[in-house]
Amino acid sequence: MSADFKHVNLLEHLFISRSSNQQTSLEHLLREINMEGEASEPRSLEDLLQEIKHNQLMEGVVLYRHLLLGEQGAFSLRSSERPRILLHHSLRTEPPRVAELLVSWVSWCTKKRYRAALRDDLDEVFQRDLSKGMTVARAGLRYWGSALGSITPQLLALAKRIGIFGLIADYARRLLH
Amino acid sequence: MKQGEFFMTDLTDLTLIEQQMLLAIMRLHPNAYGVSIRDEIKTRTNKEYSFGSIYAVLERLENGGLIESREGEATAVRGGRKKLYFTIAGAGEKALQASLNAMDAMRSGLKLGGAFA
Repeated sequence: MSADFKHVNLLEHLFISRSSNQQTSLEHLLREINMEGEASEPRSLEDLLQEIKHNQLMEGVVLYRHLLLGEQGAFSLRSSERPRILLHHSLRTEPPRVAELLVSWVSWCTKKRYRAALRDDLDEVFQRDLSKGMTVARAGLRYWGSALGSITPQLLALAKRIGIFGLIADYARRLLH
Repeated sequence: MKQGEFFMTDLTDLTLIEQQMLLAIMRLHPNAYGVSIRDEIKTRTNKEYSFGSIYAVLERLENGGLIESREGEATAVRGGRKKLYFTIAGAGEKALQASLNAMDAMRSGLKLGGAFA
């Protein structure tokens, strides 16, 4: 991955940490970045601070506090970086909308947070496929496959519950007699 | 091991996918969520479950008090959306232990593929 990609990725982390209204420490940010395995080797806190310093992502005073005083807690992001992050977000490729809606619709009977987690997991795999260099069309096809695979058991259960198979059997019997 | 020891409880009534799910959650602790659980099972068993099946099992396990879930923080990879993390509960560990013990008791002393299991 290019240095620029890392830069944008780090910015995105900083942006999301701030927008989720949580007190985010550098340790938390580091854990997040390392957990997602973007770098081949886990980064140290020092690396992260150097990266932030190099890219001038933080206001000088806050960075100074973190570097020299080891202060924890929320940090600020240079306001000039915000438009770049928003641009990066708007360039994010979305998964096939119809498949996404289908998953949400068919899994209506499951808990709301399970439904959201299922949709977000499918989306994560889609984004991962794209980041591996897969074309949007192929990643979209894989998304459709995963989405259909995920809803098939629920569709069958639903069909069983409303007795569709019985109706089909009755219809077939009537045709044969 | 006494014969019939494990027939007195329904703790052993875990299906294969439930066992795999509980083991994956233990292995991935504290980072067990849908994608990581599916990847872990796929890496270790070469079996790829759909997310629908995974969440159906997770819901069943949580309703049975065998696992607990909590919402994580928003991450960049998910476009700022939160992950739903799972951890095994005490009852889950007991059920898994009982289920695996029952399986071991069944296969103890049997020759599988020319070797003792």
